[in-house]
Amino acid sequence: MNQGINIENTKAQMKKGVLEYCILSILSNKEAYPSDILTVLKEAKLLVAEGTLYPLLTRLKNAGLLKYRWEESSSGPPRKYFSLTEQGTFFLHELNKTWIELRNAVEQTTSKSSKP
Amino acid sequence: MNKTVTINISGFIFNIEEEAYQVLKSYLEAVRKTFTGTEGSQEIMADIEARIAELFQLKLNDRKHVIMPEDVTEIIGIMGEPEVYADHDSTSEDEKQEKTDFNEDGRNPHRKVYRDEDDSVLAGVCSGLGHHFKTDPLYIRIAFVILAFITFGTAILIYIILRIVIPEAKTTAEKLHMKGKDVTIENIRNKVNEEFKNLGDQLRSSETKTRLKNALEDVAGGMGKAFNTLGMFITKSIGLIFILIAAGLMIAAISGLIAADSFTSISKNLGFAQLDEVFLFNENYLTLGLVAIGLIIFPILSGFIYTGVRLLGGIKKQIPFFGLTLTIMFIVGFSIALFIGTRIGTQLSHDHEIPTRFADFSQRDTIIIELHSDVHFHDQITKRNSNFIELIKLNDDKIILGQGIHLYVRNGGEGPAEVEIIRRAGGPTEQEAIHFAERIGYEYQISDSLIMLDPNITIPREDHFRMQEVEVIVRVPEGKFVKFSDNVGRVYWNDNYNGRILRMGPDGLSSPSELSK
Repeated sequence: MNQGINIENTKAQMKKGVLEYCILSILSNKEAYPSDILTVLKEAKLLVAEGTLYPLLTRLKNAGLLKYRWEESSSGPPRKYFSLTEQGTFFLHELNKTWIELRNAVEQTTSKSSKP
Repeated sequence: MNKTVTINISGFIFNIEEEAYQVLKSYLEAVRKTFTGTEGSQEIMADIEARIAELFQLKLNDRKHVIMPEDVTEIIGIMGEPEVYADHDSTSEDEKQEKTDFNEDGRNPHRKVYRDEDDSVLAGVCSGLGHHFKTDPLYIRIAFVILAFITFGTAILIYIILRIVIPEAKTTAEKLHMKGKDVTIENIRNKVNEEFKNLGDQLRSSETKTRLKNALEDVAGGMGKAFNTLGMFITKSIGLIFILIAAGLMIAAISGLIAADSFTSISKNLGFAQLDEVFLFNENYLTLGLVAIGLIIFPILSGFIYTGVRLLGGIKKQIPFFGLTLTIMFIVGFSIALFIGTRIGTQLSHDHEIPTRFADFSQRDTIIIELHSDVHFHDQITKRNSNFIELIKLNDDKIILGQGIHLYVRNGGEGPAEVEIIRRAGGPTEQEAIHFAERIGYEYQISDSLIMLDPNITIPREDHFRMQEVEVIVRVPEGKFVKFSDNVGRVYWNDNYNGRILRMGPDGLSSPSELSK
């Protein structure tokens, strides 16, 4: 079977891997509603299509990493304010460690191989 | 001038141009479709709609009251094309598997339910459910048919609803999804994207109406197909019935074998060869008979299983000479059985009775019926209705039958007391039947008012068993008494009479004390 390598696809995969990590990090500081999260992610150019966020949030919530509460909005539909659960905090902690390890590993391997 | 429609998104009312509305509607349906079967799809859709409502809100102000097509296009640009959702979903599948450690309740990646029209009888509902539950769709079809009968047709309605609700697996990816296979290969992903690009156009043609129409066409319109289906169901049901029959036969055959085994082991006095000698004229018919039974049962059994499995679709190829072999086996077995049957039948085609009368043997009021003590079966016999074969013994030149004598005590009316002893035997001819009956050895003494009977009869060994038996009929005049010995139950149907004195009344024997009341 030919599993073709596609640059767009690889890029997307890399981004998506860290997307969950970033969402959890954003929520670790303060609770936020999807628009807040979207603003941060779009600024960081991690996310282009807003629609992608919603299934992700639902999935994280269903996995028990996130919880939410409703808040009335003056200008639109009621908003879901998301925050980390205890499990989510632990999960983020694990991801932090993994991220540091990964970053070191990537730096180490890419700097070595780019020398010669 | 353009027409506008009013829509409600997430509880907010918007005026939207009709063209924009059509685009938005197609978009939302396409997005919804990518989430079909996903856990929390309703919730995701609600969130997305809430966000769209929010974005619409931002578009509107005091001077702008209507959502225009370009607004919708822009918002779709912000939210992302439907394939973005789908794409994300399929990669998240991989992520999910890696994260199973963190999944408290260990949820498995979902399998979507699709209708499988490639393998369909009506609309592929059962087939799709079969894929979903990893079972042969046949069982689900059978269940549906049975349910349709039990529920008086409600199941048919449910089928139609399922036909509308469950989407058809159209793309390769969906088909793989349906079958629970990974959808990671690049070209399949391309195909999914292609499919989603086409989706918008398809959705414009008012999906639900088409579905309903298709469903009705499938279920109601396609009567020919339905008849086909009925035929197929009947075929499969017959297949199932065949297998059940085979199972039943198998059980019967096994219990038959057990019975045959107990048959031989019960007759402690006779071995296999002796049974053959006594009952089947010493011509090895017993062995032959067992072979015949095997030759008859095996082909029937395998025939039923084979046909049943074939009807159920288990065997596609025909086994060469299978039917022929079975048929030959059956014919041979049947011929042997027929031969043995005919031989036995001809051996017993005639029968004859030889009566001996002892009229007026009793002058007294009480007739005594006594039984000699049983020298052959005293350790085995208890009642009249003991096993017939159990009470057969062989000695050098005789067969001893422990159950060959039947005693009857009857109302003799006015007349004098009388004993009649009837020897009876079967034979291939009348002459031979007489001959065999004459050769029955039976000992008895009849003196004044006393009948001494032997519990067993003997027949010459070379005569074999040809239904030889002896009947002793005692006709007791009304008003006279009969005294039974303690062991009379051995030859009399009623062992309650053992050791009792009974009076002959118009309705037969009864206890004199009862009568005096």
